[in-house]
Amino acid sequence: MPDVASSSSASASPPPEESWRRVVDASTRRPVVAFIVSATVWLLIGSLLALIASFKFQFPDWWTQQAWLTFGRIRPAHLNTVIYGWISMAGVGVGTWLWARLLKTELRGRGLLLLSVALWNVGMVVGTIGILAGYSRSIEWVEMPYAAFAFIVPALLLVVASFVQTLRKRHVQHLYISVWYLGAAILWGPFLLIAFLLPIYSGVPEATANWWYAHNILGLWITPPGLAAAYYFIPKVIGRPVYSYHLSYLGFWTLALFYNWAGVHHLVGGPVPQWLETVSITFSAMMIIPVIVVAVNHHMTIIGHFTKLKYSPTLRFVVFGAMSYTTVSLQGSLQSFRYWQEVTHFTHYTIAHSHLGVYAFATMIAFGSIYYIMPRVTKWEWGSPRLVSLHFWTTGLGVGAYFTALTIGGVLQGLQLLDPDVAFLTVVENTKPWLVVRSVSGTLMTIGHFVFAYLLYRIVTQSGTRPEGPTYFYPVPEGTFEAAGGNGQPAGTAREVEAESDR
Amino acid sequence: MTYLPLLAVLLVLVIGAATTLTVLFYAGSHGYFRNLKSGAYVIFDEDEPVGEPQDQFFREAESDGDSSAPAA
Repeated sequence: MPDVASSSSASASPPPEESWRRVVDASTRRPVVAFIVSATVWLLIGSLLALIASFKFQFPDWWTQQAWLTFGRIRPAHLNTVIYGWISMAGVGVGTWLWARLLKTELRGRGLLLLSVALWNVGMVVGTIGILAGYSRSIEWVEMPYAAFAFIVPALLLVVASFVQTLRKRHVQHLYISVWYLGAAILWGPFLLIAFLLPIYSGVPEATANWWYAHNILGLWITPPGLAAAYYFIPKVIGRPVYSYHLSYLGFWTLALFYNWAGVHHLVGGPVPQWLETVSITFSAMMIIPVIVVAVNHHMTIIGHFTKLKYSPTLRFVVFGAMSYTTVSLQGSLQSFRYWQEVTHFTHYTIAHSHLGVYAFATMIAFGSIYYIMPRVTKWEWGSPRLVSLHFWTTGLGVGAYFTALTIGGVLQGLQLLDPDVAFLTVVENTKPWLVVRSVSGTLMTIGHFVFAYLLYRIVTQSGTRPEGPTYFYPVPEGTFEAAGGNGQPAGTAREVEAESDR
Repeated sequence: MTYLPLLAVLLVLVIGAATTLTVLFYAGSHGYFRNLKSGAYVIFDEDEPVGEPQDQFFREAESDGDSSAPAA
């Protein structure tokens, strides 16, 4: 097989080899599998920690004899394992595959990425044990001790090195919109983490920097790979280009310019300067622009193709995630306003919002992406459509119930907390039913995670007999996926479109 | 109260915005935003054209008759 990336610099035309995808996919195999498998292990650990934390609301005396099993340690351990272990590593795994595919060249720095996985996992072990052992830094979203980040930061920088090497050897002139999102995340993520780990913060400025960081790590590190995947997989699965490519660029650049300023809205009502809060609220409201742009683009791309959601696991998960992105982002803009913060701050509403973002949006898109990617890097198919379906319904219904219960419960909690005639213990009693739903829905999601992990184990080890066809939820009727091309035009290739544009 | 940490955050914000704008104008001046319509089609080609199912990794490779080979 010839080297598809033999040129020393970017070139306009893709490699002539017709099966270049197989070469490129094969080059990503080990790092992508390593990142995704590691991420899934941390997802399972994080899910179990979450369940323990949630059930403590129903059984407050359960497992309180050991300090490391108390809520104050279990809950931050859950948060850090799912943020830095699950979604970050899954994002890098999915992003690595997309990066090589979209640049149409073999992945460079594969050894660096494998070293990165190893360092990252060591950092996660150190960090998780550190939190459970009582060495938390007590800074939300960054509870892991410095020793953990001594491994994770170099691991991130190794990812950057590999991505830059691959970018320099690309075989495309035009950078697809997903490349912009992924490249930006690779720039922003390590930058944010290093900036916040500087030992210069304390007191109120530390809280300010904390929420600047925590909000940005969601919007500028976790969100971009999710949107990059949506912009790639939705058009690919339905066989239709993005509705408006111009809008996709508008969405990216407005996110890049606005999002960085929005984080301090988490401290509305706190002791930070009013002007800082106002600036943050203003930029939070301005975020409506990129959100609407992305929402319109995704909706108009898939419109007329909704029947395909019935069959394709990738499409179903990714579209679920894309719709959740619109919801969580608009909700985020609205809840930054002072009058709404007064009600929802310090309530379960905020927990619902964060799960809508990290789970219903980013995690569901990661699942959908992995369903597309793994067969291509392992040369095997998913073992059971029924289990994939079970995975979808347990996680989809789980996060839906979780979000609904904690949103309603959180608003009621906030209104009661503002009422001086309602005793605090009454408020606590009134939140109990919503917290039961939280535990039940968390259990559903955890079941889905174990199903997913089993499916992943089967495909990585190539267990059983190789399925003869693609894994769909149902047999696909003839012609279902053979729809028209972009904007209702007949099917055509990129070169035909370019030729048409040139004319 | 020291303003050094706040200054650090504001510097990062300003540097971030300046970097973003620099990349934006650099990309614009180097032609990355030209002919954007065709850019939407770069993920499709002869192997995986517009209008064809591309979620079917293990459909038979009809062209070369190799039933064990993935299609794309």
